[in-house]
Amino acid sequence: MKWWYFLLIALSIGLFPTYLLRPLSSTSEYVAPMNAMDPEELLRQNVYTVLHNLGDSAPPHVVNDSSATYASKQRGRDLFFKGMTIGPDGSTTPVQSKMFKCWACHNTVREDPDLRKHDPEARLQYAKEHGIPLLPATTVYGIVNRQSFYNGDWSKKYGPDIVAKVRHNLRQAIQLCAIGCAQGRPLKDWEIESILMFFWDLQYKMADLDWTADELEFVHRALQRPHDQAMRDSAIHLIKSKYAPFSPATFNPPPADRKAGYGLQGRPEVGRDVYRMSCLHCHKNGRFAYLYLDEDPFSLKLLRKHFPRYSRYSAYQVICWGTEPLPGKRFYMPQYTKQRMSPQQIEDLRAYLEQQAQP
Amino acid sequence: MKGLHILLVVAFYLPARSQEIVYQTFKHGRIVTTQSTETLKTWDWDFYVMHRFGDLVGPNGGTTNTFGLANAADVIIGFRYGLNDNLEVGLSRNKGGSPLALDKNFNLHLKYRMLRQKHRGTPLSLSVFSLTSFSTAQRSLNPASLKYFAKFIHRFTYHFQIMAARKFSHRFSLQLGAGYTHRNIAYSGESNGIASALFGMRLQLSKIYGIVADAAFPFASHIRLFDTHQPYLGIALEIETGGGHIFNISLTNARGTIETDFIPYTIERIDQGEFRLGFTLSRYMRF
Repeated sequence: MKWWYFLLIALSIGLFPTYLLRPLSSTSEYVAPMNAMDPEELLRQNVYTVLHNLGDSAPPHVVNDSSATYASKQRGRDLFFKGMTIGPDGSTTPVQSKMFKCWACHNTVREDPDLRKHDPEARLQYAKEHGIPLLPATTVYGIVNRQSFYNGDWSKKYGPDIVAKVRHNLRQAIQLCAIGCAQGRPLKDWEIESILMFFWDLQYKMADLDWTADELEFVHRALQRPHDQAMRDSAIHLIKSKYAPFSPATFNPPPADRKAGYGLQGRPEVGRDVYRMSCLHCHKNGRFAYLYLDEDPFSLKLLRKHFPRYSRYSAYQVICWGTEPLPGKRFYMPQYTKQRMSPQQIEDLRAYLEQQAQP
Repeated sequence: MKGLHILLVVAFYLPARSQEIVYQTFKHGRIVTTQSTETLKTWDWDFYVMHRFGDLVGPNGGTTNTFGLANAADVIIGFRYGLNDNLEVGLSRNKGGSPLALDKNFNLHLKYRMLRQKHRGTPLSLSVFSLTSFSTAQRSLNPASLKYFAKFIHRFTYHFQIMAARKFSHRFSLQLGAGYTHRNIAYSGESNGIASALFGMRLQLSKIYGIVADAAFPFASHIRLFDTHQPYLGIALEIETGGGHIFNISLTNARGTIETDFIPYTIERIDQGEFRLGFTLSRYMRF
């Protein structure tokens, strides 16, 4: 064997511990310097990378090397989709929640055609075209580009004190989601960092934003002028104006008269989409619920019968207010805010169920 | 090579995508009293209580005994746990139904679902079930009694069962099965092992209400009371509230609630009013 074989092996053995101890990834990979770059290439960049290069201050949920020990994107992805991962000691972690996985309520892809707006009608059409479900919580795609969390009426549900702590702290928001929403165990620090790393992988790309050629050229020029801070600030402002900095949340009370409903004309064909893309996401085959629903007549009749009633089985009630977790029965249904399912869509769902019940 | 890859995708991947699993062939692990092919989902707990009252009518029923409500033929309280979507383990304790059978039993069971029915795929679900029952009854001084317990192992009885079920539609499911019950101690002249045929069905009336029925026919030619032995028969109204609760209100001839009891020792005759009301309360939980 040649001498350099031994050298290679010795180097491999010697360097292996450094491989194990390395932070597996961090946000630093998203802030590579942007040298000469044409506008086309600019579109392929992450939004945060561009903002960083324009001199924007880093958000508090940046994952740096010191906070990322043991954390990795893959572990974050595992926690998001499976609720468990391989821990630092090489063994499988306890499942975070036996009731829910993150993907029960959150998409991981873009779900709004216009990132500045939270229009449930436009989202329904977009989701249908792209084959994604309509879920009660906002997508985590671009969540790291947002500045506040648990906005609006969520303070009514979780209390102003708790929400005040998480509103501008994505780490705390993830923890509240793990405990309060998923009804699971608290996440360890490295697990939160892992999930953050996964989220950073899902940040907006420049191409996701709606640009005119002039605007893109403006940003491009600002990047080439490191000393023109005014221009750079304008570019930062321009980029941030292209997406909503937070997801509004307004609770939507059920109609006062449930027989009359919201007084809107329901569209059965849209209601079918709502049923398939929302209700069946969790209820089909009891994926995240004990109530099994399908498109069989029994399921549709059950929902139709209770829709106009003043009971906890009414779809008005459970869509608008959700249900609550109880000891020994911690499965619950999260509520849909007005921005996630509009009164019109609820009426569409009702119209579909009533249409299906007709002989 | 590329052609082979395409062939493999078409042969395995595409059918797997289109083969959606059929759920809820039955809504509970038991049909009325006999086992169904259903197993719990991963991490699900099921706490259940089954109760069988005294004879509804006849000399031991009627108004004198409030149609059997004054007597408890058998009561079983148990837990089941889903180790994964196809394997469950359960522990229960029952009073003991038939006066001929061993009573005060602790029962440990395993159920494994080997096949799951799929749309445009596997046509039925197939499960195996095994039960070990341990009697904690006080020892009898009568050597002719099963509870004489000359050996410690006589306290044990076993049951093994294989079941195949198909959900034909959202309204109707049918199950057939075969069982083998082994008693370490049997009455004089009887064989220790008893084979049996099992039947079950579900007729769903609405999302909430359904009718379930089951039966067990022992084959043994050496049951001591063969002349008077009756097959087990049961029918129930099943109610699913949708929140993880399953209830049923049943009529059965057997007094017992476990296979090692109601298969070898059912002697109650329906035509003489020897059938009884019963109920099952079941609640699914996750902690």
